[in-house]
Amino acid sequence: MGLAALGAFVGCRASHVATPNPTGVVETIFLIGDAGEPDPRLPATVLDSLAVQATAVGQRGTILFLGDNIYPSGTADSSSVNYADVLRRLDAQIKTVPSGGTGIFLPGNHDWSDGGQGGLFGAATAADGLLVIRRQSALIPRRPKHAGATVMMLPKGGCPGPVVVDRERVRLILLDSQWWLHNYIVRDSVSDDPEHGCSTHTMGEITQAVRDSLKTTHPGQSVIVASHHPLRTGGPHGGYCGAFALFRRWANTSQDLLGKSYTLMRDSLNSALKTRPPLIYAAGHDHSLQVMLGRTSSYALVSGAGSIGKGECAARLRQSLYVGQATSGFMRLDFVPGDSVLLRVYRYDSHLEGEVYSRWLHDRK
Amino acid sequence: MRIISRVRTRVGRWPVITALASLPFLSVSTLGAQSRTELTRTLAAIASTPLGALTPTGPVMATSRDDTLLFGFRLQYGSRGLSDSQSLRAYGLTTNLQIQGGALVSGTVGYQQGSDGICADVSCDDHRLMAEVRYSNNLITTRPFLRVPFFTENDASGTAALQFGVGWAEKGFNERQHWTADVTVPLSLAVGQRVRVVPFLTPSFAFAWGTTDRQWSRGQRFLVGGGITTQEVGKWVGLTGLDLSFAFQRAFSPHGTTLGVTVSWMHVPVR
Repeated sequence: MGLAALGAFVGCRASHVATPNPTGVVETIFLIGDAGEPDPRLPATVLDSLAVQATAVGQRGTILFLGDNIYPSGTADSSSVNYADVLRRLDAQIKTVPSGGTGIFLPGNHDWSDGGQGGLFGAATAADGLLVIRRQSALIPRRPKHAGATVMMLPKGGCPGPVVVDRERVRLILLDSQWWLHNYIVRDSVSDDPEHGCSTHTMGEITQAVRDSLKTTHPGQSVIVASHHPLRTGGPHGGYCGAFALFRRWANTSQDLLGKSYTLMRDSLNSALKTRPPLIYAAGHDHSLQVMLGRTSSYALVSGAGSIGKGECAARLRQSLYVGQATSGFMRLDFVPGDSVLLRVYRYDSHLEGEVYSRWLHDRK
Repeated sequence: MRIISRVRTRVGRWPVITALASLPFLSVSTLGAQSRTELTRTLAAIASTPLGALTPTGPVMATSRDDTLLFGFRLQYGSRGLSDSQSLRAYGLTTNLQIQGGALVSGTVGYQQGSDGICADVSCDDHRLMAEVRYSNNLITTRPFLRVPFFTENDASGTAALQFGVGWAEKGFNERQHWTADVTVPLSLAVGQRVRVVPFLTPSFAFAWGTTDRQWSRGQRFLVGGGITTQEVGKWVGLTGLDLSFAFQRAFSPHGTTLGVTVSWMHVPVR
């Protein structure tokens, strides 16, 4: 009794809050990222659990796949030897979206062919990655899915976004953050999506569109801004963990928080977000589960633990409320009437399965 | 303009690095004689500066790289027992500064007081001022690798850091001023979510310089410090950024152990 109380006191045991009556939940958003490496040799615990929960929620639910939907190099050409494996990875995620539910895939750096170098047997043949991401964008809606399910990639066609998805209780502002970081694209109308066109073509247009999207919310709507790349993380991409963390700080890697392009993206998005801070900035990229206080959002969530076996270290930061490292799992957001949102974190590893953390989120800004 | 500023930055760094690297070779003789406090003179030099007068502290909880600044203060108390129930007590105030989640730079000013009777004659001061500058950079943070009983949520993950410190103490106890320079590799384990429990160990190699009259003397010594820090202990009372450490610093000599307690508070300014 004494030890258990001490455990709860110092937070070594899971922190839970009272959960709402399911009938009182208006909207449910699931956040899962970096799920593009479902290992067929391992039980698909994370995706199975996600599917069960999403099915229970039904059409009130939206699954946000936070990028890196297909490792390692995005969607191969249909003539490629590994095309079947690409479909397996994608289908494993798509089938978690229940009948009547919605699945939205955000693009990640690996979906852009991770820099564009696919190699002889790799998926990518296009040096600029745009072809690869457009291929995935076109492929996702065509894959088999449950009757009545909607699946799509947003922003699509290699466009940077933002794309606004309005629900009754929540506004999703979706960004393709790899557009900012990729080497081989021209960031103006030259990079336009030839099929549908992009709504924005320059960094200035994007930040202005984000500002506008934040200002035009309906009364009672909470805002989630989501991209693959986080604005804040204690994982390896934040310059923590591992023997090379010290050097990554100066390595100017485009995929790391302190890289030059990444810093430009962070600064630009932060400047847009602080005009009207959203409730949540959700991202993946680091393979961990992190709940943090945000700088230009009330909360910053990193849910990049969608693939079993890819879990990584994450340092606990001063802003961290919960850190699940070297694990796999996802997050769930239940929106109830009013301005409250219940966050729940589910993790699955060798010694923990199920809900490990919950918290009511409120606008702090 | 850019190139000039870059060159200036580089020129600014190298003298510091060169000076630190050459410190061990600047001395002319070895500390070894007995002082009035019955410490060897090497240990006396170490015990006079914050390195040995106070105790090490656990690692500072990291802040996000997108935070421009992390700053805070530390209040320290250290006590070293001597023979005949005498002791040296030290008090320190440290300011910590970290930029963009990088290296932590600390500056300490302190005051050391000897117990009654530590001075045998009137010309002896029974107190001294001391100061220290310390640079610390995290080297490695590991994945969770060690199961800890009762901590079912997060296994312990480890960190290793590298520290360089330079300390100074003015005359006191019939001794002249002292300098120390040390290289320390703090190792720590961390468990817990809301409040973090962090046992740590700080193996350290220190060089000490002391002067009597016009003669500078040098010595060196291996030290081991350690203790336990409870990070974010203030969350129990609704205060963030408050850490509490209990620690020791041991030089392998008679009267070579300092015991101490540290309260620190760190803050990220909201912009």
